Amino acid sequence: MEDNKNKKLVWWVVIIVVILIAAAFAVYYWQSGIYTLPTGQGTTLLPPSDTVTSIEADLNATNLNDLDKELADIDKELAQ
Amino acid sequence: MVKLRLTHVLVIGAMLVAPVFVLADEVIDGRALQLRQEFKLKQQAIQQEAKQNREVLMQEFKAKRETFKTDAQKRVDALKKKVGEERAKRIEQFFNQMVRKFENAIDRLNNLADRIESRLTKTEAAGNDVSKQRDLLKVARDKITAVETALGDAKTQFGATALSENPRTAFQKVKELVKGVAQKAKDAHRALVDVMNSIKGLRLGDKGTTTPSR
Repeated sequence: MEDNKNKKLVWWVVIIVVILIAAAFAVYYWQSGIYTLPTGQGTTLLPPSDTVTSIEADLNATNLNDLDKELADIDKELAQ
Repeated sequence: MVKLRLTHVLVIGAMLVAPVFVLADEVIDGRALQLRQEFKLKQQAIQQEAKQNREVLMQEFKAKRETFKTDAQKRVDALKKKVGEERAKRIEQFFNQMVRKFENAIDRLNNLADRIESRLTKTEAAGNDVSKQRDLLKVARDKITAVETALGDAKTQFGATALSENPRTAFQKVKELVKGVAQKAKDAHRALVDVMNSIKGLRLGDKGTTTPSR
């Protein structure tokens, strides 16, 4: 009888530990921005960070060259 | 004896006058706090109003983008009479491709401006003065708006090109406008870089270190 009780207690402890680990993982992924939120058009990443480093990285990665390169193609079409 | 009396008078005098100074100091402190709070509230109201105006403007721009997309067939129909259907379609395709790139760039710049604003709000909440950075951000936002407005003008001119008797000549005006849009986009980007440089130049005090400018 006592042995049965102990077994049940061990199972409860195992279940609680598993739940805690799963919760810890969920919080970690949520905070690191890997988790995706469902939206009307598929899934999307969480809003990007507003740290100076991340803003600066995205600012530097913004390529504004060749935005108007199709003008030459249109010119060619009109010249024919 | 006289010396002793004088000391007494001075001590008693100091004891009587001290509370007046303390009280005056508290009154000044209270008034300064009140003024600071009033200034903060006014600043928040101005920021809120600017945000609402920006949202209205964004909705207008969004509606104009949609109208341009839905008018594509009309432009092709008008242009095919002068250059043939296939070429008219290709020209429309090239122009749309370019417009999409510009719109993506504008969206990206707007997104960066929003993130910078969020950073400034946090830095300000930590007790730092960011009024100069906010002014610079306003300049950058105005420049981003100018890009969208200029792109709208170029799109309108492109519509006129399709209806023009001489599309080739009319397109030169579009080219000129689009080159202006590209330059404005670079200016807006430069303005955002200026805000970031200014944020990095902030000497964050003890309070500021609680929200580090990483």
